[in-house]
Amino acid sequence: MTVSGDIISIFRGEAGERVDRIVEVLLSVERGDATPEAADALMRELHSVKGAAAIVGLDDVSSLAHAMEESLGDARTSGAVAAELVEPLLRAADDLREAIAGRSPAPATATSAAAPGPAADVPPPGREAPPPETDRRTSIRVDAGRVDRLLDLAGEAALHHRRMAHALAPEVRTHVVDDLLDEGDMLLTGLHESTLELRTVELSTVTGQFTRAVRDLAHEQGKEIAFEVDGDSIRLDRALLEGTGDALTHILRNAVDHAIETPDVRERVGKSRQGHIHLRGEQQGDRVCIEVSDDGRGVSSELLTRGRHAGSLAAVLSEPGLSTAPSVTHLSGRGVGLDAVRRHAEAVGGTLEIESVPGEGTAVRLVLPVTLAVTHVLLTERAGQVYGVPMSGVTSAVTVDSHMSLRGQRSIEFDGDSLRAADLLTLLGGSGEALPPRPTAIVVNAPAGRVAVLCDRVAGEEDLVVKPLGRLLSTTPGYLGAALRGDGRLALVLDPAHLARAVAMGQADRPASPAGSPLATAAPTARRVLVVDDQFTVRELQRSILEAAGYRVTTARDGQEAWRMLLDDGSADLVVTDIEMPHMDGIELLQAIRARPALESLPVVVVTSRAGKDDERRGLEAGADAYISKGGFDQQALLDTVGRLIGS
Amino acid sequence: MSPTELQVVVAGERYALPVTAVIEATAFGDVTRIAGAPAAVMGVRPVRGQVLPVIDLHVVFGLPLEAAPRWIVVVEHEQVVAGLAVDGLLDVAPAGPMRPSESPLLAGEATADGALVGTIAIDALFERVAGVAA
Repeated sequence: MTVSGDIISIFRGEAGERVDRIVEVLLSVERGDATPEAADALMRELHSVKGAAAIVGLDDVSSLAHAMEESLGDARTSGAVAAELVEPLLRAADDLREAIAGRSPAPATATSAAAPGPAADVPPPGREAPPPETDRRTSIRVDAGRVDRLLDLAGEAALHHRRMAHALAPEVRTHVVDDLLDEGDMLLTGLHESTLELRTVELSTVTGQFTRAVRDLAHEQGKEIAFEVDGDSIRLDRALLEGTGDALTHILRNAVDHAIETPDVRERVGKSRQGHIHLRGEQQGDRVCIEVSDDGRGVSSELLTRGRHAGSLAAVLSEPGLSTAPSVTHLSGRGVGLDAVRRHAEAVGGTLEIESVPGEGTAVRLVLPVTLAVTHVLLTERAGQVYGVPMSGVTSAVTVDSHMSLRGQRSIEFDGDSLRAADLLTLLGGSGEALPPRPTAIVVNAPAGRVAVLCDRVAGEEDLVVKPLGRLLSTTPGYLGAALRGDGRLALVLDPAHLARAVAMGQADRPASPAGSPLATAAPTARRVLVVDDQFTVRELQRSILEAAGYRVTTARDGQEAWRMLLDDGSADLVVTDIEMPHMDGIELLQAIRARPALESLPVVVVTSRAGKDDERRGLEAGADAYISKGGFDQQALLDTVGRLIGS
Repeated sequence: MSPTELQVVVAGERYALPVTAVIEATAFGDVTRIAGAPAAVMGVRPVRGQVLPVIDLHVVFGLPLEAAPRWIVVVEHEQVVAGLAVDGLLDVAPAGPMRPSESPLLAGEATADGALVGTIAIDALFERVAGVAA
C-alpha cells in the first residue's frame, strides 16, 4: 500500500517534534535536573514514533526507535535513566531524525567531527517544525507558503480598500457610504492583523536547537559551559525567523569559540571553571530584543576605546576584515560572522548592539521589529518625493526656524543638545531643490546617538506594507524598501541606522545655495565665496588662498557693499566676513542675511580680530556657521572651515 | 529549434528578449526615482503588488533618450524580477540565426528584415546593473 505524500509529511512533522522532546529530556538527564517521569516520557515518545512509522511504512525509522527503546530497557523498571546512556542515545536520536527526514543516517564518526565549519556543527534552525507548545487536538498544521499567500492577499485587500476609498469622487461620499467604507477598513485591517498573527512563531522554534548545539561545541573545545535560555516564548514574524536563527547561531558560536575561556584559564583568573552563556528574549513594544550574554574574556580595551570613538562598539566589531588585524588574534574569525549579523539586523530595520567589559564578559543584543510586513512610519516630503521613516527610529520632528542657529558642521539645537544635521537629499546621494527656509528636522535615534535629517515638511504617520527594493538595488544604501500608499503613489521607506551613520560621518552635506539656484547635478561647478573686509591686504590674502584651492572669489569692502552684491545676483555659496567694518559691520550683515528667507541658510564664516569670546558669541548668536581668528592668520584654518561648509 | 523572442525598440535600435524570461509588458506609467541609485536604474514602479526596479536600456546601451519611454517589459531571471524601459514593442517571433556579439550584454546578434537585432543576456544585464555602485 503506498501512502500519500501528505500523510508522510504530516508524520515527519509530528515525529520530528517527538525527537525534539526526546533530546530535551536527555539533556535534562545529563544536567541532572530531569524529572522522575523522564524515563516514562522517553519511552512514550519512542513508542509513538515506532508505531506511527510502521503505519506509514517507514520501517527503518521504526526499527531505530525500537532499538532505542531496547537500550532503555532497565530504565523501565528502575524508573531512572542511567547517565552513561545519554551520549549514545543522543547520537541515536540524530540518526532517528535523519531517518525520519528520509535521509540515510550519517556515519557515527561524522556527528562528532571537529571540522569548524559553522553549518556543520550547528543544525540549521528547523524551518518546518512548528512550535510544539499547543496540543495537537486544538491546532492544525498548515503549509507555511499558504499562510504567506494569505497574508499577501490580506495586506493587498486592505490597501486596495483604501485606494478605492481615495478614488471615490466626493459627491458620491454620502454618510452611508462613508460609514460603510470605515467599516470595511476596520474589517480588512482586522483580517490583515489576524493573518499576521498566524505568521508569527515563537523564538523557541529556532532556539530549541541551541541547547544541544552549544553543549556539543563546548565539549569539542574542552570547555564547561552552562547555557540558559529565557523568554523564548516571544513571537516573531516567520519571515524574520530564519535570518534571526542564523544570526544567533553566529553570535553563539562566537561566544563559545572566543569568549568563554577554558576551565584552567578561568580558574587562573579567579572565575568559576564553568562559563555561562545566557540567551534572553524580550518583547519591547513593537520590537523584540534578543540578547546573548556571557561571562567570558570580554573585548580588548583597545577595541573598547575604538568603539567609544566611533560611537558604537558593534560597528567596530562588525567591520569586515577586523579578524585579520594581527593585534587582535584572539578575535580571529569573529569579524565575518558579526558583519553578516549586523547586515541582517539592519536589512530588516533593526540594530545590533554590543556591550563588553574586558575580562568580565560581553553582551550582544539583536533588536528587531516584531514584523516585517507592516511598519508604522513617519511620512515626510523632500523635493517632491514622499519618504517614510520607521517610527521606531524617530525621536521627534521639529521645525527649524530662525531661532535655532545653524552652527559649524550644520547642527541644530534640540532638547538642550546640539545635533549634527544634514539634508536628506544629499544624504541619499541625490540632488534637487534646496531646502525651504524653515525645514523640518527629523530627529533620528541610533546606537551612535541622535542626529537630525532635514526635509521639506512632515506629511503625517501611516502604517505601510513595506516591500523590499530587490537585489538590483541592494547596493544603493539607505532604503528599507518602498510602500504603496492610498493614492497609488510610492513612499520610499528609509533605513534610520544608515541615515544616522551618514550624518554622523558628515557625508556630503552641502548647504543649499540661495533659493532659486538648484544645486549642481553632474559636474560640480566651482563654489563661489564672497570675502568681506575693509582692508585691501586682508581681502587679497584671503582671495589668493581661496582661489588656489579652486574657489571663485568676489570681494566687498564693507557690509553694505556685500549686502548689495548678495541682493543683486545672490552670487555666493558662502560668505567670509570681518566684523569691524564701516557702514555695516559683520554682525549687521549677518543679521540682514539671516532675516531674508532666500538667504537664511547661506553659510557665513565670521573672522574675529581678537580670539575674543565676545566676537565669537555675537557671531554665533547672529547665526554664523563658524568663526576663525584673524590674529596670526591661519591659512589652513580658513580652508578647513570653508571646506567643511561647502567643500567638495 | 530556435527560441521565441519578443522584439523591442530602444532609440530606433532593435533588441530581443527570450519570451521564457518575459512576464508581461505594461505601459510606462509612473516611475518613482530613487536618489542615489545607479544611473541605469530609472527608479521603481509597482507592478501587481510588487515593487520593481526599472532599468533604462537607453543608459545601458549608451543611446539617446528623446522622450519618456512608452513601455516597461517585466523580465525575470533566477528569482530576480525587473522592468526594462523601452520605446516600442514589436513582434514575438522565433530568433533568426545568431552570431556571437562583442558586447557582454548581448547573448548574440541576428539580422531580420534588414535590421540588426541584439538578443539581450538578462543575467549579464542584471549583473552589470547590480554591480554598479551608487
